[in-house]
Amino acid sequence: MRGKFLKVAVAATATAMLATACGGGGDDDSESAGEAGGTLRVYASEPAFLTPSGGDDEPSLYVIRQLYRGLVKYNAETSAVEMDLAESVESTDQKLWTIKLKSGYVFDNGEPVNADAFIRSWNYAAYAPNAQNNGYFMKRIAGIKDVQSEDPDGDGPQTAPEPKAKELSGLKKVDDLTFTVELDSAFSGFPTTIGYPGFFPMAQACVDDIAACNEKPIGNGPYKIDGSWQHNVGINVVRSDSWKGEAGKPDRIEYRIFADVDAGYSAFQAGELDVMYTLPPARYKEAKAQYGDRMYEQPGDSFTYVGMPVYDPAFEDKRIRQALSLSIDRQSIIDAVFDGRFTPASGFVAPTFEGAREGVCKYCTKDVEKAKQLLAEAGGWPAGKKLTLWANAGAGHDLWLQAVGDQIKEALGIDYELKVNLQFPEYLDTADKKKFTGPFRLGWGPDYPFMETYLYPLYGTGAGSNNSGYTNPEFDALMKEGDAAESIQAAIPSYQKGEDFLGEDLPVIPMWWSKVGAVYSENVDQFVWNAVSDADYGSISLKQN
Amino acid sequence: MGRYVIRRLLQFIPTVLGTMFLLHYLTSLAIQFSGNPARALFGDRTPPPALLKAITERLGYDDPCLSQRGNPCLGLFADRLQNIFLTFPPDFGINLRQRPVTELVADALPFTLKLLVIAILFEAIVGIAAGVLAGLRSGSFVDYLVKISTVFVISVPIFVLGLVIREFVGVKFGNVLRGQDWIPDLISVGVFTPGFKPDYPFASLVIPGMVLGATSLAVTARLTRTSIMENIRADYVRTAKAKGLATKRVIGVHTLRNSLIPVITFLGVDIGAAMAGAVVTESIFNVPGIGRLVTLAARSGESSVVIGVVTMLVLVVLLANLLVDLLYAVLDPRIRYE
Repeated sequence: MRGKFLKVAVAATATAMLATACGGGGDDDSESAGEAGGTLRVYASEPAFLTPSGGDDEPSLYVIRQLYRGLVKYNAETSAVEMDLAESVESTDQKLWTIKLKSGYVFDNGEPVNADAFIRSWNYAAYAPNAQNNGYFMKRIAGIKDVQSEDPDGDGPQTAPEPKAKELSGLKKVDDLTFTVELDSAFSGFPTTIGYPGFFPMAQACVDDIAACNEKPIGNGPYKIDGSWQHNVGINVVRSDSWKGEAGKPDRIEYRIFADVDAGYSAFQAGELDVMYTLPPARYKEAKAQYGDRMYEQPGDSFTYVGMPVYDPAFEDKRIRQALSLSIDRQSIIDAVFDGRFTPASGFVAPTFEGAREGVCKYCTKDVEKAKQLLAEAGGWPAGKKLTLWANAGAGHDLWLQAVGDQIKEALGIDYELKVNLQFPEYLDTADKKKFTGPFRLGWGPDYPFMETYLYPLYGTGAGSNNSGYTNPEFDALMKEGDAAESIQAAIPSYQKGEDFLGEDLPVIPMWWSKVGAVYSENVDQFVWNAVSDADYGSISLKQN
Repeated sequence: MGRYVIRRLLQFIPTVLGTMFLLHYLTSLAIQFSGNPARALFGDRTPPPALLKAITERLGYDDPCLSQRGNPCLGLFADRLQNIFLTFPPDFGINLRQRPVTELVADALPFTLKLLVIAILFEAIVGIAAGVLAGLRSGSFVDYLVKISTVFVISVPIFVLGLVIREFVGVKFGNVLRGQDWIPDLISVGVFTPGFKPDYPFASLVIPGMVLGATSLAVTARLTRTSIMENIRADYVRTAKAKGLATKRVIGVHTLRNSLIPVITFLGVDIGAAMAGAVVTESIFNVPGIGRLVTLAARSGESSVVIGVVTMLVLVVLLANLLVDLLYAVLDPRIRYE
């Protein structure tokens, strides 16, 4: 009886609070900003690294973003670039960038955050023998080839020789608070890239003893670590006195580390967590019903596609690719296999991005008649040949891929077989070497909030992740044009024209975009989700008693 | 006795080496057939070759034999043995996140030990007590209760039991307790929780430990029960009774001591089984121990972690078995080791 009474009471207070929040939010700005204080307990997975140069996975980034701060930050709603530690980031030719820093910022150990701190950090990440995951992101800076040694015999086991240089030739210090960055080629989107934690500064003491800095980070952000990283257990951060910028909302953030999202969800249900940035897929519906208004949903930016082996003669004709895409009903697969946890894709750039348009792909809604017609025009599918659909093993992709195969079979009468026995490393290796013999599943997430991140790396001639082998000189030229544009806004039309080519040529079949699904507890006053950097725990305010 | 122990210790050597080779071969095969684990770190982003190479080298996956399917990689095995046995401190290698395996184990071990102590104590105390009660009054209500409840526990796999307990005891029942003000936090927040909690490092392990010990508890109770029933009719017990000894002494010293031999054997062997069970229990209850460590390592193909941890587990099982054999002599004076 008592339990029931309590539930009713809790529900009643929750409704009352919700009502007041709705009533008071609009007219009073100070109130809607949320009050500071309290301890925020959040769900986390074990991070890979807590250094800006090493951490490139979601769990790492969520911690690093509170411990460190970079040149720019992103607006939570519009994803626009805003200056953070930088006073200005400017260039006249989009190739040589001059970065001026604000003065007065320091690391937790007292070292100043100056031009050297950034140059040091970027050089450290880029130097291949340091084996830092974020070395990948320095690829645009001039001199990258000299700090990453060439393999002497292509793919052999020989030890790579020492790189020619230790430092990137493109980074030059002008004075204490100014430095210049020279890129390999012009790139108008450069200011959007440097808000990524891989570009955050590092203290000299951190680079000198990177292992110690990983355990007990020397940050420059609004929070500093309390104690040290308790591996697989938790990470606690508290307000940092040395931070001069806008202070974070909670006094303390406790990251509880879970090995498995189901165990984390149980802890959330038991009231041990305030925020869970992800949900166990199987309990998505239940959570939605149970937490309703305390569940935060927003379109995400993670792209799932079915790649086309354009290098294979059987898929050379774009009409074949268009026909395959036209026979798939994306929404029905999302509903049947994923409980509606995705948004069907009709373009190649995430809907939340500036410059994204609906319906760029004209072949992304089901139209069996048109599909049949296009297939016939292309000369049909070789009789008896099976379509091989590829996915990596053990990640649950076979379920939806089978649905794709069934729909193609029903629409076009092409029989299919699934090839889902490759483990992830070998699967990626197959992709790198372009050995897929049929449509293959892959995904993509943005590196920076600039639409180019979805275009050139995936479809540019010879680009790193162009696994379909697509080549289109006109597309490449448009990408160059956008890269050299005067500003971020000026670049968009060129990129959009480039995207139009993709919508016609379909080097990959767009499938769907992720949806963010987070839940938060009754202790949370205002829940903030950053459109670019995702969960931003420092901006979440708690109810104060 | 001394010679016996030395002989047993010498037998450890081939066992450990054999296990290590098997593990080494299996993990090498896994890499040969599923590709370089370092490549998976980058996911959809194709890494620059120089960077991938530097990381592969640092993680120790650059041996050419790892790309030849079926190659037993004897050279790599020799290197591994050398690093583990001939260097001080032993070097078990690093995981994909470049942390030494010895450090990973040192972090995880205390949690698993706590969990094991709770599990073994729980199954020994409750199991033996239930077995004695049932065995002394065969056919009584207590006997039937023990028989039926143990069948029930044995027939439910540990992962089902664990999930059900986490959901209903940790979350649902726990939430009811947390709503009552008069219950101390140690109980409502500490013990009845869906998983391990850093704030209550011991209390929050009680339920996971009990789940881990549950199946063995049932077996312990049944073993004790049968053993007691057999011994209670033995001649020496009748003699003891005829001598006029107090019932307490007849049961507590004479009967129980003899009856415990099979139970002790079982408990010793069970330490190994409990370690295996910890793999499941720790994953369900989010205990950052050895079991969870090895599960995650196996999933991501971290061969150095799998080899290091499993080798250590093998040593634990071997030592536990040796200890059990030595305990026989203590319990039964007729057994002597030459």
